[in-house]
Amino acid sequence: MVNIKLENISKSFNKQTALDNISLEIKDKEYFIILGPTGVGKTTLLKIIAGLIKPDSGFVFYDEKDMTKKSPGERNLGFMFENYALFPHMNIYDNIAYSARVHAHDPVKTHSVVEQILLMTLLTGRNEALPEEMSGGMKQRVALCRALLNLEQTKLLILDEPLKALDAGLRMSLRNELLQMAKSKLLELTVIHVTNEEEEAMFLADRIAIINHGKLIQIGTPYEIYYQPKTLFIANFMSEINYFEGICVKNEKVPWDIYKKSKYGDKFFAKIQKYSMPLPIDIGLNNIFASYTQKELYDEINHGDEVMLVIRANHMKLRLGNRINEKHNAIIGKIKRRKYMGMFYRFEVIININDQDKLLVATIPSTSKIHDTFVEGVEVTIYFPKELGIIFRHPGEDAIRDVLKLE
Amino acid sequence: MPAIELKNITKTFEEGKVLAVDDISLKINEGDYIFLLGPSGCGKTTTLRMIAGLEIPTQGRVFIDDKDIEGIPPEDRDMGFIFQQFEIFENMTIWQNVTFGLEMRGYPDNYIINKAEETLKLVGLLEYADNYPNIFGEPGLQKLGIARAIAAGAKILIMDEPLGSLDPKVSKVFRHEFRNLIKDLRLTAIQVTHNQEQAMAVADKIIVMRAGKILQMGTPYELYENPQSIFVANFLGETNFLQGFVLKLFEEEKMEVWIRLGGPRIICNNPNNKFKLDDNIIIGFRFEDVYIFPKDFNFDKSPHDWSHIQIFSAKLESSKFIGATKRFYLSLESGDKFISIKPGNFEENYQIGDELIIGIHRGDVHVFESPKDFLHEISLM
Amino acid sequence: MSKQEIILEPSELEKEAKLSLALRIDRFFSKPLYRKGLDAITIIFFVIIVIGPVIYIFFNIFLNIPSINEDIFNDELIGDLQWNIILKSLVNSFSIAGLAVSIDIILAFPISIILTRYNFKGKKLLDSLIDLPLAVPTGSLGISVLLFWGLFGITPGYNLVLFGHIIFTFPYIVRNMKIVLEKADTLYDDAARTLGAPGFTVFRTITLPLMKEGIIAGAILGFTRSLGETGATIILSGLIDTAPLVIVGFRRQLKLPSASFLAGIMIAISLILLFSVKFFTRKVGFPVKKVWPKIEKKLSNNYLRHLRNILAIIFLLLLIIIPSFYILSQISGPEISEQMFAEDNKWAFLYIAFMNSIQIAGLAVLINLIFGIPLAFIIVRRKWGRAIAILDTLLDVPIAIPSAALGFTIFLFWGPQGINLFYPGFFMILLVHITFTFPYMVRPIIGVLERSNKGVEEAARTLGASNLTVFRKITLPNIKQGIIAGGIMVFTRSIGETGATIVVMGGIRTIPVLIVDWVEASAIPSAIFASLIAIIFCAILIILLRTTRTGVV
Repeated sequence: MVNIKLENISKSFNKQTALDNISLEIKDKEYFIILGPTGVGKTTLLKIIAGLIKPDSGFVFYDEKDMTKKSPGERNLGFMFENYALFPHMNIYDNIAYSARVHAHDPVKTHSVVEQILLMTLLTGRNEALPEEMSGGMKQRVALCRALLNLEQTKLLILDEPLKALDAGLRMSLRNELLQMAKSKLLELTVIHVTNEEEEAMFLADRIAIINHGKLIQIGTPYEIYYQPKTLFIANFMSEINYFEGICVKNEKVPWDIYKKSKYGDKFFAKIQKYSMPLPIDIGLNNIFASYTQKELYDEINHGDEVMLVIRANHMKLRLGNRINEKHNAIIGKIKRRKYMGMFYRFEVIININDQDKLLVATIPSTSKIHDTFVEGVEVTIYFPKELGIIFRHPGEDAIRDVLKLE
Repeated sequence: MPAIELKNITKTFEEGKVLAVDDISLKINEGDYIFLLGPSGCGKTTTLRMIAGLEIPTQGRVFIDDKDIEGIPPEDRDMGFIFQQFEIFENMTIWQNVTFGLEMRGYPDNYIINKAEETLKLVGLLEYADNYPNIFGEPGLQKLGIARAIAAGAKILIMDEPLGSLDPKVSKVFRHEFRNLIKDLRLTAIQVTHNQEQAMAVADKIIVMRAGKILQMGTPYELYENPQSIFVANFLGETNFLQGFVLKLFEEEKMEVWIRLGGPRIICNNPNNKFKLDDNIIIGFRFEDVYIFPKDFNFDKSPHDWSHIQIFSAKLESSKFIGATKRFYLSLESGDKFISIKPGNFEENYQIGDELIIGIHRGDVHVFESPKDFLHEISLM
Repeated sequence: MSKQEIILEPSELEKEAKLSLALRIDRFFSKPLYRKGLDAITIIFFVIIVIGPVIYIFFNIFLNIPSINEDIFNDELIGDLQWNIILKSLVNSFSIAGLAVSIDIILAFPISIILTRYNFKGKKLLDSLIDLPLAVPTGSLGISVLLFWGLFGITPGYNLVLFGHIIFTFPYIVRNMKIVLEKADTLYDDAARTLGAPGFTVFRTITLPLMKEGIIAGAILGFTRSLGETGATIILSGLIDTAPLVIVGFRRQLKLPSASFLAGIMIAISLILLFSVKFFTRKVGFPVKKVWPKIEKKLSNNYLRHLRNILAIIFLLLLIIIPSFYILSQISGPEISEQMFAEDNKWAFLYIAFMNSIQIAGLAVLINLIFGIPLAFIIVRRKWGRAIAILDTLLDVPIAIPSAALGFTIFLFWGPQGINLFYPGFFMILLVHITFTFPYMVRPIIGVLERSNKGVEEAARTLGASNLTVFRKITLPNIKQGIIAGGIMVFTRSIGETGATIVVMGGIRTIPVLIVDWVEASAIPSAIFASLIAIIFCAILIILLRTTRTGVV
């Protein structure tokens, strides 16, 4: 059993704030991911949880016990470092057996446990190999085994960007192995895993905590983070997005029935948009757009307020020609570029709002079999269901430029 | 007329002990944006360096525009080079970086000034000309790298993971800018990467390498839809593999395959009637090509035309939401497992343990010979 | 970004192309012929300057076996008394070296940890203070040690020499430990901590084994340094003899074959030590498999750690820092001016010696620069296989050999007994200084070259730059700091060199030798004044070195 609680953790280095008042809770047997871009304090947070660094203020609780000042050794966890940190002067066996020896366990018992682990991870027969002789994938496995051997009662595994140093292909397969191992009946681990790859986070996590500039921005399940991101930054981090700027017109009479459910219907969107309402927005076209948004935000936004409507590239849809009348949240445009990417096609569509050209991106699964008709130069209607839109208060031009990194 | 051609190129290191590139031949057309794709150690970087002249082939010849260029040093090959670590001259200004190559060729001063201005304007860095590179972040540095490489008018661009040092998000946006620039300048470009997603996103043609050999070369579409080997299929996109043997042969290059241990029977293509009765084969099909229907689905009443789909049943083990996609983990009675990918907002009421109907187009089933070491074939190393 | 097409340049441009003069010169001299020529000249310089004299001495011994036998083993009057003297001096030298190094290693552990793993105000100052003995004439240090320990009643003799050597060899050992400590990532320590290891266990099983190379390299360097120490030892030795002192003695008495013989023995031993370093480091291992949790946990107590640090600092001050700088407290204005400006015009001698020292140091820097840069390139960049490894090891020969012995080999090789190109005097001193400071120029340059970015050079080459252009415009700016560091090191070591200079100086005096002269003549205040000049001068140079921020050897 291990339940980790962080209360108001702050840390600065040389007068620069690395972590700013972070509080969160990690539940027993959870696969918990800390996600954020490079250099925002994720590794620092991990080291504080592990006891390698002491926070300037705040507390770390393990199962309600205050462990803030305790050494890493007293926390009984397994820690896997970003570049593995295998002891260069020890071979595989000695690396893995290190923690057992430090605790003066019975050498015979240690031997059989180590042999078992080596077998499980396909490393048998290589006991004598030194780290400098190993491939990246091998090193990762040895580092993992070494950490696992230290787990004992708490069964807490901490991983600092464990897949970063590997080839793209290897990353996918080792990801599977990690998850299987963590969730296996034999181990049933609690895992805290730091990464900057959103796909990795979505695949592995039970819950995700998003960190940026040392602050905790949002915690939630993959579902929640994906469909209800709290900020523009998070929305953009999880996938390629399109955005529209507009004015809320909720007091106006809208020509079309924005309450009519699309084919996405009750089932799915009831799950995440439980208490939500469609918000009408004027983005400068003849037809008014609408997007579902949570009730709190709906109530807060007044008629006339500036808002941003975000829609993910993979939620956009295309129809040949001019079909504006049939579809809501639709605009006419022209296909500027089409690229086959294997599992899907990526379309760049030029539209015109207020006499300004704007580029929208749509990724369509290639199983839709649209090859020959949707080609460059063709006129299309690009549209999206209102249930999949995400609304934010307009964060200001600087914030937009910052997040979307427009130069 | 191909811009670049390699004929029977082999490269060994350490007096023959290490075989990096094993007798490869390829042709690259002028104006193409080519990717050399493969896992670490497959020989792609060595091949790139041999095209560039930074390594000398142990055997074989390199031709540019039909001329054998053996003995010609890199700087005389009319190529521009872009490096993963940018390799910008930090002790020189932006301007000096860009004029460097032009000065080395001894062009007259006013020509140098013209070309440098033009190039910097093209990549959007002209206003920073008098600054030093330390003001830039990574995308800026790489833009400078591009400007420096093309200022002297190179027609071929050689790139070793040029976006490798960029933050993954930035690189996803930047690679399109990159490609646009290359296309606007009508350059022939060769890029090395281990990241298939990157290659698929922007390449005209991809050359897949492994253990020093070329496995397949073609457009992203060709490689993805028609992989010639298990490795290429698996490397370019997530693929399910099942073992079976040939049960029946049909006309028009078709056959029926029986999946092992009492699995389903699937009809698939038999290109050139290559496979014979009782041959052991591996079939592969992409995660996203697997259709799922509830057990009681009425195919006749459905608005879509499902006539080209063949169906069999499987059990749903679990599902997982991953944002843009949703994964369904399925298993056959034999215990064989496979995965289906659907768009993330695909809504369904399937419960774990349900018996579902699975459908695959015949054209989406790829067939391969059954290899001796299957694990090695599907390994991504 | 516009979509305009770039018009490809017309080929007429190629004909118009004309390289600037500088580039044309570069291109001309980049040809393989010139490169090979430079390599050859550099190697020849290296062989003649560094290796030649060393080989020649063994040759000389071989030729003179009969007279050696007569002088040392079978003298008509004193039998083998000479041999006994020699033997005794060797025993003294070795025992003192062994003791000094052992004590220094024990003290260097906590000090090097403090210097690398802690941050506190005055750390840089402490670092520089520990380094200073490397640059200051050992004669000056000798005076300081003599005066300080004299307060406690310790007179010239074995113990005083030991106290002195503890100081002189300390910087070498600390330096090397610091280097490996800085290289050993705290990452490994962190990993060990997460696996449950208390502080002491982490040190014993992780940090210590990773420091192995540094400890052994430092120990051997310190050992040979102590073996060769001459300047201060003359002042501190009283009645006993160490081997270098005997060599100097023989030289003064013109007993050349005997001096040859002893020098040869010392060189042989030093070379054996130098060449066996690599062998040692691989074989020596630390026991890391067994752990005693209870004891080690107790030893990891924070209070124990603080106690250790405090004790280390106390011993550092007592044994090393205070004795080194005690001389500064003995400056007595009236006494000094009385002696310096007396009838024998000591200040004039000081002025001349100072000029000599500076000129020799400056020339040594210049010549070592000219040949050192190419040699560094050969060692780092050429792919000559085994030959490079040999060159690399041979490079350290001049600093591994005791300086008096080195001086003697130069005297033999270049002087009347050998090629007969030079007489004892200014140029022979210069030769000695060139030889003995050469590694101090080459090593820092090798260091920065190894770390320099080859990718940038490759990029420049792909843009059409010839090898020499790449060197001028790309490599040189990048290794500038290493060159400056090397230059300053050569200069300061040259200023401080005593032992070898004594052997070849003839009538010329440099500052260190002048200091020794004056102590032997009991003109202590003058010696103190000369030391002061030297210390201040070198301190300024060390500060300059710190501000260029390079890794120092």
